Amino acid sequence: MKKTAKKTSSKSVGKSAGKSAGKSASKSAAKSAGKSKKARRQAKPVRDRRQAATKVIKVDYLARVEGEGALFLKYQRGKVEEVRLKIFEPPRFFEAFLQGRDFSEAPDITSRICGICPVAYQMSAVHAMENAAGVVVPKGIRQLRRLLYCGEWIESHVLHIYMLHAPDFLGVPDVMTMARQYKDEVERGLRQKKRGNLIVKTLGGREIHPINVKVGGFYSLPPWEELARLREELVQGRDEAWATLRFVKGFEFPDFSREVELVSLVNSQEYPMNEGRIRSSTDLDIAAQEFEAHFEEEHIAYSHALFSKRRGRGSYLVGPMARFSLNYPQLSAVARQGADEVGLAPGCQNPFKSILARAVEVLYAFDEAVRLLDNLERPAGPSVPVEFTQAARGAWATEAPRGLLYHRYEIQADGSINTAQIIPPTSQNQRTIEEDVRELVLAHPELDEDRLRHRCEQAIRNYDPCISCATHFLKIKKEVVA
Amino acid sequence: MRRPLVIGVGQRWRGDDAEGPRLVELLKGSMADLADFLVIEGDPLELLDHWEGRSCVVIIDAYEDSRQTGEVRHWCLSPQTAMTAQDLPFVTGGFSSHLVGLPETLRLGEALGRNPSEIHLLGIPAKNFALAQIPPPSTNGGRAAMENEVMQRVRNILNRGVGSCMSQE
Repeated sequence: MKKTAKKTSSKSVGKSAGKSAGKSASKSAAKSAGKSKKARRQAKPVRDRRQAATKVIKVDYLARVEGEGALFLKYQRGKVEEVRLKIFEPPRFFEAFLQGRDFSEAPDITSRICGICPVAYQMSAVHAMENAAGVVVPKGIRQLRRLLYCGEWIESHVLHIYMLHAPDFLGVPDVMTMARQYKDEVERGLRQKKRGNLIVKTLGGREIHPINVKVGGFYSLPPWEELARLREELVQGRDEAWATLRFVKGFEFPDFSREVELVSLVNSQEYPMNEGRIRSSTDLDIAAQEFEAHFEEEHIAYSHALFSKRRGRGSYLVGPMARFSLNYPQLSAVARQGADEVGLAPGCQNPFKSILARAVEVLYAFDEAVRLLDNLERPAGPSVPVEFTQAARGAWATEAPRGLLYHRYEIQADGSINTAQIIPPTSQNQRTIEEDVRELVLAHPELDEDRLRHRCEQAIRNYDPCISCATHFLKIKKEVVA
Repeated sequence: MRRPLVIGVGQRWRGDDAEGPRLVELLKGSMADLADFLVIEGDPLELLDHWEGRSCVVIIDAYEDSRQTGEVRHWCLSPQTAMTAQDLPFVTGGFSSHLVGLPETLRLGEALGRNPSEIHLLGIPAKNFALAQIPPPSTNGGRAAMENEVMQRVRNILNRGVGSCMSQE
C-alpha cells in the first residue's frame, strides 16, 4: 500500500474580501437597526458591498472519493461566479494502450482502470467485442455474468454507503470515527462487502481485478458446489440488506432537488446490468451502438477528465438514481418493497437520496443473485469461440455501479484493436455535479462557509465519483508518415 | 489462541511496494515453525478477518518517505506502548482506492475492537511505487542489510512472545 508521511491539512477556505464578508445579512441588519433613517440610507451601500463580497471555497483534496480531485467555488450572495470540479489525477492513457493489442486482451486491460468496478469494464469490453464479432453467448454464461455483476454492485455500493457517504449524514469525519458510535452498522457493512467480494472471487478468481472473464465467456467455470455455499451467504446478505435500508432511512436529507435528464439502460425483461437500450427521462431511446451520435465529450481546461453532454443539450445524470427511476417496474418485488420501506419513489430528483437508491440496489443485487443461483443453467463449456476474419466495429454499454459505461472498439481483420473509446459514468456526471453545487449554493444562502463547504463535498459524494475512471482517456491524433 | 501472523502488504508489480510480499516470502522459509505467513495484495479490510483470534501480528509494508531507502522503522501498537493507529505518522485517505488502505484498516479495527493486542508494523521507507518496476537484487549491500534487519526484528518479536512489546524501536 502506498502511504506517505503526514502533511498539513489539504483543505482551505479563502476569502477575497475582508473579514466582514463572513457576517450574515441579518447581523448587518440588526446592527443598523438602531441608527437614524439617514444613517441607514448611508449604510446601505456598505451593506451592498458586503453582500457583493466574493467568497472562495477551495477543497484542495476531496476526501472519501476515489482518485484525486478538488473543488473550486467562487460565489457571492445570490450569485455563483464559478464552480469547478477539478480533476487533477493524471490522464492514464488506457485507450492508447489498447491500440494494436489483441481484442482478447481488452477485458483484462480495461479492468485495470478501476479497482472498485473492474467487472463493469470487463463486461462492457466483452459485450462490445461480441457485438463486433456477432456472437451471442449461451444463457448459462449470461447468467454467470449477471451474477458477477451483482457481486460488484454489492461491493461497490456497500463501500460507498457505509464508508464514504454515511459519515456525511451522521456528522462524523470518517468511518473510523463512525465505528466508535455505530459499531454494529459498520460491522454489517464489512460483512456485506465481504459477501460481494465472495461472489466476485468465486466467479472471477479474486475479489479485486478478477482474472477469469474472457470474450465469449469465462476461462473456467466455478465449481458448482462452491455456488451452493455462496447461496447460503447471499441469503443472509439479503436479510441484512433490509437492515441497511432501515439504517439509511433514518438519515436527514437536505431539502434540495433539481430537474436533470436521467439516462440509463432500460430492459423490459429485467433490471439492467449487461443489456438494454439507452433511454432517458425525456425523449431518448437508442441502441447502445448509437451512443456517440447523441452524446459527446469535450475537454475542459481545468480538468484531466473529459466532460460528457448530450449533443445540442447539456448535462444529464447516470447512476443508481437514474436506473431506479427508469427501471422501477423491473425491480424484484422484494426490492420494490424495500424502496417503499425507505419512501423512495421513481422520479425522485434529490441527489442526496442517492444513498437510498444504492441501498435498494444492494437488496436487489442480493435477491437477484439468489434467483440466478436457483435458476442457473450449467453451460456446456466456459466460453464460446470468438474470432475476427474481417475488420469490424462493436459498441456496448453496461450499468456500472456508478452508471452507464460505454465501450466502442474498431477491430482489424487480424483481431488487433485499431481504436478504442471508453466513456465512464463519472465523466458523464461531472457537469451535473458542478450544476448541483451551483444550485446548492443558491438554495442555501443561510449556510456559513464551513457548513456550505461540507454540503458541497457531500453533494459531490452523492455521485460516488470515481476519478481514476474519469481520467483513463487519451485522445491521439494519428499522423501517417509516408 | 492462534499462532502469530506475519503479513506482507503490497503489490508485487508496483516497484518498492513489493517489499512487503517479498520479505514475507523470505521469512517464511526460515521461520515457518514460529508463525503463520500471509501476503495481502488486495483488499486490506480482509486483515480484520485474518487476524481474528490472534494476539500478535507483524505487518511488513513499504511506505513513501524521504528518508534513505532501506532504513527500517518499527512501530508497536499495544497497551504496553500506549501507541494507537492514530499515532502512526501516515496520511490516511490520500492514495488508497476508495479510502480504505492499511492505516484506515488499523484505525477501523481499533474502533471495532478487532485488532490483536500487539501489532508490530515494520515500515520499509521507499520511493518508487511506479508500475512494473522490480526491486533491486538482494546482493546490493544496503539491501542485504535491510533484509537482515527485518529478519532479526521479526525473529526477536516471535521469540519474545506477546506482552514484551517495547516502545518504538
